[in-house]
Amino acid sequence: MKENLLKGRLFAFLDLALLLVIPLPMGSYEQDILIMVLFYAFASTAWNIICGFVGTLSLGHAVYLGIGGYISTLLLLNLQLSPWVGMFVGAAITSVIGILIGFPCFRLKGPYFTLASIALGNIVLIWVQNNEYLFGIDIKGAMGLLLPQTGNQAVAFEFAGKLPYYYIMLVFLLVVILVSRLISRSRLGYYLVAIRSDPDAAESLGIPLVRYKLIAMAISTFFISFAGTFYAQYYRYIGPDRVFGNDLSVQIALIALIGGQGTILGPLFGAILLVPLSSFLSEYFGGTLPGLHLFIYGVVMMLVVFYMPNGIHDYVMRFFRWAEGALWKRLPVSKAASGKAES
Amino acid sequence: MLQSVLLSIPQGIILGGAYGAIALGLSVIFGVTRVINFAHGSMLMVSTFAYYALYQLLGIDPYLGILIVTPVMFIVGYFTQKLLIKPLLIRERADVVEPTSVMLMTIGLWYTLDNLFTMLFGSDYRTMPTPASQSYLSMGNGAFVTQWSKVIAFLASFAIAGLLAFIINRTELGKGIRAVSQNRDAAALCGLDVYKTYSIAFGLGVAAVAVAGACLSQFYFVQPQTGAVFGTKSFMIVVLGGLGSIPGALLGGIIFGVVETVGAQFMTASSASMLSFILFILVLVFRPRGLLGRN
Repeated sequence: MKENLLKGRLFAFLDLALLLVIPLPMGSYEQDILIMVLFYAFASTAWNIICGFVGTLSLGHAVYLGIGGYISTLLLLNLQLSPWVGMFVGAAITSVIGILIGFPCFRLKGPYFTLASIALGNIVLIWVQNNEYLFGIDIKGAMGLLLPQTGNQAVAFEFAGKLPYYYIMLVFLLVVILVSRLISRSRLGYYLVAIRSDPDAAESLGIPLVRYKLIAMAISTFFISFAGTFYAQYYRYIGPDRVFGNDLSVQIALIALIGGQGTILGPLFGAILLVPLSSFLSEYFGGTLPGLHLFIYGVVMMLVVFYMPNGIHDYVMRFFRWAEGALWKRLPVSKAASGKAES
Repeated sequence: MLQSVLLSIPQGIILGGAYGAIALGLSVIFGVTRVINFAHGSMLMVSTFAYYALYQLLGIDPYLGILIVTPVMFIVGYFTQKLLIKPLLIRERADVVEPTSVMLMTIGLWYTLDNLFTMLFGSDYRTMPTPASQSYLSMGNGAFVTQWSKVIAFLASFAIAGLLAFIINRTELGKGIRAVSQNRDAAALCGLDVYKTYSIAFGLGVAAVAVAGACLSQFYFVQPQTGAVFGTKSFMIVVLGGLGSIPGALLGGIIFGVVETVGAQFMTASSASMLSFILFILVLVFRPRGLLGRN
């Protein structure tokens, strides 16, 4: 028992240390890919809190990401409010919007919910593309908003190199993973899983379906809006085609589904598999094959549905257990620990 | 102003006919298999590329090309169901995974096909200078002008609907399809091969969208994004009209066409396409079974 605890601690520490040092020897291009891995892992983990645990498939979650990014950016441009603060304002507003949208939509079942989420995504996308002002605030329509380049200002969420962005996203990701782990072990998590496996049975046991779905929705949209702020700060730009488009929504969903719907680390595994794969292949084929990265998402999705209906999560975990076990036996610590256990 | 609004209504009805023609196949597939085929738009896109290839390589007019492309697309649909979807349906009966896997499979197929064609052919806008796409129907001294190809698409939608209704309601094959769609277990007990019927229904739906593709390719671009544009609209149209209802798909299509065309008189055309999505959400919230849907 004690040995397992020590082993678990040790490898958790090693994994974290690996995540901390991995970008250090890398060039700017590789660091960019790592940041995108974390970005997608973060967004997909947030998506997973509502769509994975409850099993409703939203293909419009990029909307919440975009709203969060737009709010913090507009606050920065118009009121010079630091994005560190604007991020939380955006998250609060986004989760209210999430609840308002979720309230009518959660009555819809299965594919109807998915279609409604696609329609909502399109409504927001088309509206922003065709309107210059929202409540008198200049949102620049289809052009999108450019953020000022003022150099290296930690207070303004702006850095010269890529490394700070990597560590910020890493912290975001660890927080959202921790939150989804807490949820999955809380009463809320058990309710959500009960709702996913059999909504009628869950309701007859007295679980108020809509209320718990809305709580999960609020948490999910709260976190995914941070990804929007991060996106705007990192690229110094936010525009409707990218953050409200169908492709981002589908990417977020597919990463979580391929990784393992409803698992805690699944979205991270999905992002680690898909983001570098599609980036390297797109880079390799240069501009000759547009659409290649989304093609890969589609093919991997089909393969996963066919051969690993629960995603790659279980296989990756099994591999890690095996690797950790093999490594553990070779470590001097293990002999000491087992020796202690015997005495 | 009033005149242009009034004149936009028949324009909308004609455009809506084309929408309906595209949505019909999706409705048939859903009605029988209860599967929402997210790859429906991609099938449409693939068929328009087939017509384009026939036209460019052999000089075959798309309307004539229907005779070649539609049977091929029937086979494509048949085997899509047989090879990709049937194994999932069988697995789901054993209740191992959530019933979303078929939907995810078709979403994967949608992204695979759309982006495969983007990779192969780029996102250029291709057109075919056929006689139908270049001749115009003009009425009232040019007050009402539309392409003949759109009128043909409108008429074709009724032809496709009639043919599908005939196959389903009047033939022996259709009897099997109806039996399976009403109760697949009872149909299986009567000795029907349920999955084969599913495959045939899938093939019929894809064949129907291939006919619509010939009409569409005459007034719209041949382009990989076609799938996303018309596929998304087809889902909305089918839900609006009532999933599985053939007249519902036509009616839903026409409503969509009218809303978008009349809306475009008051705002830009791209803003107007937002209206149909709003309409769709209202229908979902207030009448989820659609206008002509069975309960």
